Amino acid sequence: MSLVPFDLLTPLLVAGLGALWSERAGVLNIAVEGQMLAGALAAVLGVHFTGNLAVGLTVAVVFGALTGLVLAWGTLDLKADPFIAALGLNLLLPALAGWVSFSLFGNLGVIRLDVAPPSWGGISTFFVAAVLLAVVTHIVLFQTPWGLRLRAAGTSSPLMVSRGLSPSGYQRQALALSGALAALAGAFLALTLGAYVPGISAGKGWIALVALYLGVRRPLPLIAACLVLAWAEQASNLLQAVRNLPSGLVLGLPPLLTVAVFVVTSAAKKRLSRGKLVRPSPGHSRT
Amino acid sequence: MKPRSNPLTSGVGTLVALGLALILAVLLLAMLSPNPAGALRAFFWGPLSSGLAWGNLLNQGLLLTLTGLAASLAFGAGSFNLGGEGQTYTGGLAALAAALVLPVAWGPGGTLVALTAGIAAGMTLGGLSGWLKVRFDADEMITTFLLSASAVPLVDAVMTGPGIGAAESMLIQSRPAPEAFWLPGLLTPSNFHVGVLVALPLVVLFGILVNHTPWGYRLRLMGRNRDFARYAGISTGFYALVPLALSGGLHGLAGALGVLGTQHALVQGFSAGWGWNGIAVALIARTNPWAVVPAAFLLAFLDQASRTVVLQGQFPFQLSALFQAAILFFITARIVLPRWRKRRAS
Repeated sequence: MSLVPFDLLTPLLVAGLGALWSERAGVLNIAVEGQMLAGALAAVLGVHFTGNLAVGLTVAVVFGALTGLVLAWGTLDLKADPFIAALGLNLLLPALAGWVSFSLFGNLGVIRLDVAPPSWGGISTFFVAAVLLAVVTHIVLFQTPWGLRLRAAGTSSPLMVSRGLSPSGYQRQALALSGALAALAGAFLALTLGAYVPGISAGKGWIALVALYLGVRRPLPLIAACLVLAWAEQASNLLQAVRNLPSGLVLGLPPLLTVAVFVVTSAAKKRLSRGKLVRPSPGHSRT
Repeated sequence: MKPRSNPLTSGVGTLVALGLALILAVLLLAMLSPNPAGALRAFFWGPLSSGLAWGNLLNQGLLLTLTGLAASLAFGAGSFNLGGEGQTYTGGLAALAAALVLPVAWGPGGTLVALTAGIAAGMTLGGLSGWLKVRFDADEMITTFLLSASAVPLVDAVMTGPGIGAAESMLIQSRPAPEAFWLPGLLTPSNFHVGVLVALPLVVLFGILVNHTPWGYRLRLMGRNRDFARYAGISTGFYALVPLALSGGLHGLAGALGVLGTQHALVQGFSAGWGWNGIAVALIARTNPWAVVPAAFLLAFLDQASRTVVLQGQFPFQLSALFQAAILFFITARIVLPRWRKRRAS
């Protein structure tokens, strides 16, 4: 077991980047969990039927973007609460995955692949891709006009409207991108494992949301946040191997550690903001 | 994270959402079932076709009344309790542990103690999130979910552990609770029992508390506008913590009732879906306790109907998950018929 758990870090980072795009545009996507699962299945099916990794990844990304657009349709066009609508998506996608798996294979079991995950001089290509994505996200979000406008959609939509720009257009793009990245995270997870397992996302989508806040909503600190959370997961895996603990304990530990980390960051944020005037957040007032 | 507006005080989508979900189900049944006529008949008639089916329907309707009431108490105060699944399951474990420890001679008194243990366990989990919110400003939507996500596998681990696990069983489950503590069954062999009837007086109690007392008024004010509630001098800490604790307690009660009334042991995953369904019930009822009962029975009917269809092999898909998903997706949407929109604008 390596010092840096690349295989645990990679999906968290990519899913966290997906959450980041949506959060920065002011429409936090909490359907990441469901989209990861869907992406994992889409990728495995793509590889299963073509034997080509690139096809699997493409299928996952396209399907993920579609789920993001569905969420955008619900929240931006039908004006549903983004949070509740995303919960609906989170319940729909696993059911849909079960149905697809059942219709194709006649059971709800594991779908195995005999394709090895690509590696690049011993380092997982997926990990390299994830770090590159973080760097690209940083550059696009903070160094391009498009990124500036996307962030403005999240913080100052009245200003955007006054400049003749449509905040909801940027939010739609952010949600599509967010879904694509979440699905890509699921694809990385499944292709590294070499199989699709029902419930494969196992709460990683939620942990990615925690990583987003732990990483102060910026792509590069997000890498460090994901590393901390990946270590937490590795620690509980090690504990199982050493002490031979029941699997329930090991499954229960990562969310518990995540809560602890989340509470500590929330408390720190509260301390920092103490004494400051609380201003109403712009863009939130509803007319 | 931005403050959320309460989605339940706005929107017209309830009926549209339910209608869309139903139309979707009928369409899917008609298109995907090998025998559409039989599938539709099983769907609409199955849950009402026998005493056994009625018993299961009543049992589930009342359990969802409890979890729906639990979710709407928290929603009404502007708190999101996403931990219903874990709170219910932990309540079941606490009730079983109490039943295994208590002397059998206690009889119905022991049942009461076991139910109280279930309530206390759920309350602890829910209250913990409330406390973390008040003390550290940790978003309760995330902490309730994560605590629940960690509670479920931990309960699974304890269930099969020393002192509790069943020696030999096909299912993953605990030793059975002593028969002296079982809640008497109704319409046997269905899942129905006298215990779940407690949901009805609880609805009346919380209906009055929330709608007709100063306490309930402050609670609803918290749900509408937390800043205004603080400005009005309401103890926002108290009203952030107590509804979450009560919500957890009601979930715990539901889990305890399932163990002592239906399963008579802790069976892995016995309460799966009760928490999420409770959230759907609360959304349909728009946090009004009185509306929780019809909403719960509607969802219970849909759930039983989908189970019948799946069990009879008429349909290869978990329809009930689709219902929950469609209802949650559309329920807060502001879907207004175009003609109405035009008239409003003019």
